[in-house]
Amino acid sequence: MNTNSFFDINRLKHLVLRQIFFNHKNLLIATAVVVGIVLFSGIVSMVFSDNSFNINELQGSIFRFFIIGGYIFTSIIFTELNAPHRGYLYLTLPASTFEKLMSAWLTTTIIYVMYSIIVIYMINILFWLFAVLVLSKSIEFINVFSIEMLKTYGVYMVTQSVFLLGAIYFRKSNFFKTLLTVFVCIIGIILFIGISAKLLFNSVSFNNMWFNDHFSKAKVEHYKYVGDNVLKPIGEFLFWGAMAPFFLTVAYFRLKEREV
Amino acid sequence: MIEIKNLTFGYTKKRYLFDDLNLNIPAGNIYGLLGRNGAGKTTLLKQILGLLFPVKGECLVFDKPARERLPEVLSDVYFIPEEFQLPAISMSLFTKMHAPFYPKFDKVILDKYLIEFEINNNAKLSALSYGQKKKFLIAFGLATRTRLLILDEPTNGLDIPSKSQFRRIIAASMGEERSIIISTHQVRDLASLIDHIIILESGKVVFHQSTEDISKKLSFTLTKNTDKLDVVYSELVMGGYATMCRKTDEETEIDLELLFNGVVSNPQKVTNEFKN
Repeated sequence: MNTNSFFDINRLKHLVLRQIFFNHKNLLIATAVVVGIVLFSGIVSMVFSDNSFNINELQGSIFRFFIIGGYIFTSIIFTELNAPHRGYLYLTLPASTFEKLMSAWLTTTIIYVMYSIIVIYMINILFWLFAVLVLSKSIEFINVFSIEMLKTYGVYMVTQSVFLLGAIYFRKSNFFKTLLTVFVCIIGIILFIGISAKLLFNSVSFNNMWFNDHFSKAKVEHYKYVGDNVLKPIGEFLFWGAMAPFFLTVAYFRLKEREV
Repeated sequence: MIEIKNLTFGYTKKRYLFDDLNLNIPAGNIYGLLGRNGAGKTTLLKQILGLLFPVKGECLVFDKPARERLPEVLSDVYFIPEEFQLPAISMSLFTKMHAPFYPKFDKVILDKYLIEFEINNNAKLSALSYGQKKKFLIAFGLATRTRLLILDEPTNGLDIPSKSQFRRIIAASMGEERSIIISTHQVRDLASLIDHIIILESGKVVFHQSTEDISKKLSFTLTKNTDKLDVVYSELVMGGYATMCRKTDEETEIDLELLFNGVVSNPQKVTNEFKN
């Protein structure tokens, strides 16, 4: 095997296989639970729906399970690293920090999304079989490559980077600690914006503001224009272009500096 | 092979375990790392492996900083800790998962040592006793054919026949390229194996000599009367005094326990014997 210090595709392949193998039991158990819940609720709904059942009604709960399941899966991806008597095995494994992070990222994003698509198809087939064989009716299939679905995968792949950092940063209860941290940060940001707004606009009267000079129709149009053409693109760039790289970079350095 | 320069490290900022520690470990030997409980033997091994980072100074392994954990270094180092938890998979699967990371891994060697240790290669790791797991790790570690093998208390948990098997296997696996560092309290188990002794005390390396040099400078005898001997250190034992004295004409085996006690009680005195 090539001992390139930074990146070697062969090592990455073995790391990914190792990661999948060590986590496959948890993933299979979680899948069984999710499939069970979705099937049960779907079949109940199908039986009592008077022929008006639509598989797309379940799409919302499938999305939720997909995203929450992905966050939990991401949070436990470094279980070996965080275990007191197993961390040494992971850290002394001859692979670079970049490869270790890359393998965890690939497993919890690309591979997880592909796995989820297969599971959603499986659920769909089971529903279809039940509908055809038991209720003698046909149902539609969920389009797993619809714009809405692709956007969901994208949102997941961006936001899961926070949980990947949490999986390295915290040693125990990674999912809940990451969730709590995200919650505290959001509250902090809201408070910061609120206090800043209060300080900036303290002199402005908000009573009858629509008729106030400060908020003339022209100004509202101007603010709307700024919002749509300046703030929204910045927000979109920060979310789609900067968020995942930022958290992955922090995760890389955190993993690099990790001691037992 | 390993160069530790001015290493300072502590688990708390108030008290350092190592303060300005220096150590040079050349390749091709079996080193016994000895020290009291809490002397920092395992911590030093973790520094060498890049599992802990120095506060000051540096630790170089194969001329590369250990803290970088570079694949080219790690693929030539294998570590068997005292306490470990192995995944609940079969040995063959463990091998399949980990062997590709070690370019010189030899499955034939692994099978040979597993047979010698009387371990079934298809057994699940979780079903094995602690001693059996350790034997598997030792066999795997040797099969990686890394230039550096680090063992922390390797004979803990091994039964009596396994200890002699272990000594035999380690001795047979030695080559010019390979070095083994064994941290241990069980000096009697490994006395015949070790060819260099490193003793840690109060955060410093207080003794670092080859057994060849020790044999040239010191004799170890059991005597009822120490008057006629040039005693460096002695202690009262059953049947007289276990004595470490300046070299006499008589060839004696090194009593590692006595040497250790002598060094720890008065490092300067023992070290002075090696100055000429």
